[in-house]
This record gives sequence, C-alpha cells and structure tokens, in this order.
Amino acid sequence: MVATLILAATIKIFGSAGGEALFTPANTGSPLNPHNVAAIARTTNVADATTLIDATPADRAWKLHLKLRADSSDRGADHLRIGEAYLQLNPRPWLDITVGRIIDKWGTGYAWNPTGFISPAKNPTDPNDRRSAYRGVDAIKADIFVRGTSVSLYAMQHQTFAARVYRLVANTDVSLHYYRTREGTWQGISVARVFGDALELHGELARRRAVIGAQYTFPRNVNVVAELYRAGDGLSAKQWDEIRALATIDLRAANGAYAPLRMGRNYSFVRVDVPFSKNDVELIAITNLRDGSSIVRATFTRKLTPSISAYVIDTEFAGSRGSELSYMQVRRVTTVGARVYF
Amino acid sequence: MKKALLAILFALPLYAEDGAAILARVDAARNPINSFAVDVSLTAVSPKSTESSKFRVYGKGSDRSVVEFVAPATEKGKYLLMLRDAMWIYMPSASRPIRISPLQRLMGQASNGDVARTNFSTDYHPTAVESESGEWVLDLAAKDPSIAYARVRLWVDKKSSEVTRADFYVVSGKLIKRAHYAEHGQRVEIEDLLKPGNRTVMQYANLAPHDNPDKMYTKDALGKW
Repeated sequence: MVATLILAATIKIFGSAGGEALFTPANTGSPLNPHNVAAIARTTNVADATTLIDATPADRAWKLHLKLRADSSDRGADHLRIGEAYLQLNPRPWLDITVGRIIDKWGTGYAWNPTGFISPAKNPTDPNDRRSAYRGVDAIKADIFVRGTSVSLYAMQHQTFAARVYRLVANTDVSLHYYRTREGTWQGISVARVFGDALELHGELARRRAVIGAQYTFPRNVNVVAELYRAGDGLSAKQWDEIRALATIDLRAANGAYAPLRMGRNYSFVRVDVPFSKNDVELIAITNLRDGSSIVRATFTRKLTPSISAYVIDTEFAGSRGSELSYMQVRRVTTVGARVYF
Repeated sequence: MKKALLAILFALPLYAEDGAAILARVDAARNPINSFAVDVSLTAVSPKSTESSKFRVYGKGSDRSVVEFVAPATEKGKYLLMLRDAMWIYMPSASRPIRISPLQRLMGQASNGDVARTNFSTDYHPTAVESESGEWVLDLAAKDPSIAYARVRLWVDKKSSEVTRADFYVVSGKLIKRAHYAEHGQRVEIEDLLKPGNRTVMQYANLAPHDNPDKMYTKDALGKW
C-alpha cells in the first residue's frame, strides 16, 4: 500500500484532531435513573484524531481513499479503526468500480434519512458528525454515469444488495433507492429542489418512514432548516405507556428498551445557524409531537485561527412528567471542546 | 421619412444583436479554454478582520464547474458543483452532496456563484447597451428568477472585451455589490455596498487546459474523483 501511495502523482492528506470534556449530571428525577442507578458519570473526557488520505495518479485511472480514526476516552477502551478504505478503479469514463469500506450517505433530509439504507446511523442532534465518527460498509460498488443519470449498484456481505438511481429532473434532484437483505426488501424515493436563490425543499419516503423539510438562507448567511419526520415503526402511545410501566418493575429492561427520539412516531426539527465574524451560533430543537417534550441544543463555535476551532455545546431536555424526554437519564450535556484541522 | 423608418427598423435588431455579441466576446475573453483548471484565492477584508481561502476551479463549457476547497485547513476536502444555476456542496463530514442555493456565501462578499460562475451569457441576456468613453455598458437581465442577481450592469473595454466593472442588483432593484476587474480579469475586487468597508479580493492564477471528464460534473461523483 505504501508503494502504491508513493507511485501516485497526487497525495492529499488532511483531517482533524480534537478533545472534548463532557459534563453530564444525572437526572435522578427520571423514572429510569432513580438514585443514579444507571451510574451516569459526571464528567467524561474524550479525544480523537481522524486522518483522510487520497492518492490519485495523473490520469485518474484509480483512487485510493483511507479514513483512519483513533479514539480515546477516560471512560472506555482506546480504539484505532478504519472508517473508510477503498480502491476506486475508473476503467471507462462512464464507469467507476469501488472495492472496500465505503461511506455513502443516501437521502436529502438534514436530520433524518428514511432512505439511508446503507448510510451510517445518524444522530439528529449532531447531523454533521462533528467528530467525524462515521464508519462505512464493506461493499463492491459500481457507479454508472450515462447522460446525466447515475446508477449505483452495491453488493455487500450476507447477501445484501442495494441500488440507487439519481437524475436531475426539471431542476429537481430525484433518487430512487432499493435495498435487499435476507430479511426483506425496502424501496424509497428522495427529492430536493431549490426555488429562487434562497429556498430549498426536500423530502424522502421509504417504507413506513417519511421526512419533509425546507432550508432557507437569509441575508448575512443566516440559515434555517425545518423538518417533519414520521416513523411508522416508532412507538405508539400505548407502547410508550408499556415502557413506562416496565420502568416500575424492571429498571434494567426499561433502560434497555428506552432509546431517545425513537419512542414516538412524529417529530419536528428546527435548526438556526447564525455566523458572525469568526463565530457561529447554532440552535437545534427536536420535539416529540405527541407529548411536546424536546431536546434543545445550542452550540457556540469560534474559529481561533484558520485551523483551530473551539466550541461549547449545551444540550437540554425538556418535557412534562411522563413524556419521552423527561425519561432521559441525564439532566443535560455540556460539552467543551477544541479541534485542530490539518 | 421612409428611409429613416427603415433605418430604425434595421437598427433595432442590430442593436440587440450587438449586446449579445459583446457579451459573447466578454465570455470568450473570460473563458479562452473549454476545459480548464484555475486557482482562485479569496481575501475577505472587513473593518475588524481579514480572512483568506484558496480554491481550485475545474470548468467545462459555459455552465459547468467544480470548486475544490484547498485552504484553510477547516475547509479542506469540500467540493462545490455548479450546473448552470443548480448547486451542491460536498463536505467530508456529511459524506454526501447537499443541494444549496447560489446565494449562500463561500466567504466574505463572494457567493458560491461568484467563484463557480465562469460565464455571463448562460444566465443573463442584454437588455440595453450604452457607449461610455471607450467602454460598452451592458444592462443584463437574469433569464431565470432563480439566478442570484436579477440585474447586472457590466462595463466592458471596447478594445479587449474585458470586463472592468460590474454592478449586481437583487430583485427589489437594490444595488448590493460592485466588482472591479483588473489585471485582465485575473483580479476581481468585490465591494459589499450594504456594509461599507467590507470587500473581497478574488485573485485568479495558473489558468491552464485540464482534461475534466463529464462525470466530474455529476452530483454523485462529487468528492469521489
């Protein structure tokens, strides 16, 4: 591999390294965490480093891409892992063959991607993956580009196959998605379109899940994203009541069954981003539309130098007694961190 | 009288054609190569700070371009694709191209369109031509309401067909940006007329032919080639 890199005409190496301190006071008022039975640590320190390497010869007949990530935490084991590692061959101008571990993100939604069948799991409260933690799937992939239409075919482990067809139709991004495993098949469609010079509308529909949303850019680059998400496989009110009842008899089982933002079927998402000077303020609010409970996350980022940023993130959980997010085992999450880019 | 009417009748289409012809010459002077790569550096100056960034632009034909973010380090690995007035940005963290609007800014007073756009004829048609001491002044109207600036006034050197100045207006008719072109169009200084004292300097360098395959200009290939 080293020899391959040396032979390459162009090698690009870039990435980032960062450290964070997380303050997480336990929410002992949660029925899932009386007397902090979940043993929530008050502070956690984490560090990570991600390096991306691209090697390409002058004729671009192939490309080697690596994403290496090291993680360290004072609350767990250290990890070194390959997030992405693939060799892409370009045998024809209209054909790419890619072999290895690939991160591909499907869909047009900002916080949720119902059509993201092969995408890394997304955290709606951190849609941009600030710590670059995504990991790809092992696959052989063929990309075919014909007259403005791209077709991507994937063969993965355990007899899993996927396909996506994309085309810009009347200035609208239209993608059709297909995914087949031994358990069944899934289909989906995603669309996005820009109206005028500031408004973007998008939507995705897959089996039992759908998202619709809009993004608007105001003068001075103030950006607002709003989405509505429907998960038909989320919990009904009755099923949520069963988990609440379980918490009174089997705390361990109830904690195992509880997953924030999956205990309901309908959610809203709003993000407002305000950049000014070398600073950026981002506000995210996600609300369970059944009980009104919310996650509110505020991030302040300051660019200290062209390659160093520092940030403070405060995540609060609000909701009436018995609501989904009143069951969070932590009262809030406060994160202080810095990241160096190279 | 008959002769005068005939002269006016013939002169009208000629005059309209002149504007289009001038604009075609402007675009030919700005884009002498069909498939090319060029380095662009942006320096945004405000009363409080100065920021710099670097890009490499891969253009093909009159309406296709890809912008590779080269510096600062926080922006490395990002790509911008512009197909006429449709735009997508690829960020390594998001691992997928995101549809964006042309008005979203790259840095300072330069919008994505300012850096990625290499051609005026694709998006604008001339509505009036004036002559002003060695320069043509073209009034351009956007062909489509989705174009970032509804109207552009362009000052063009009559001898070289090079743009020397451009005024950009939004739909309301308000003049919001003024660009001054120098060094044969290799240096463009953009003034933000809404925020006096804020300006962005775009410097072009190393323009050269580059074999850009068509698949580069597809959303799915963005960031993958």
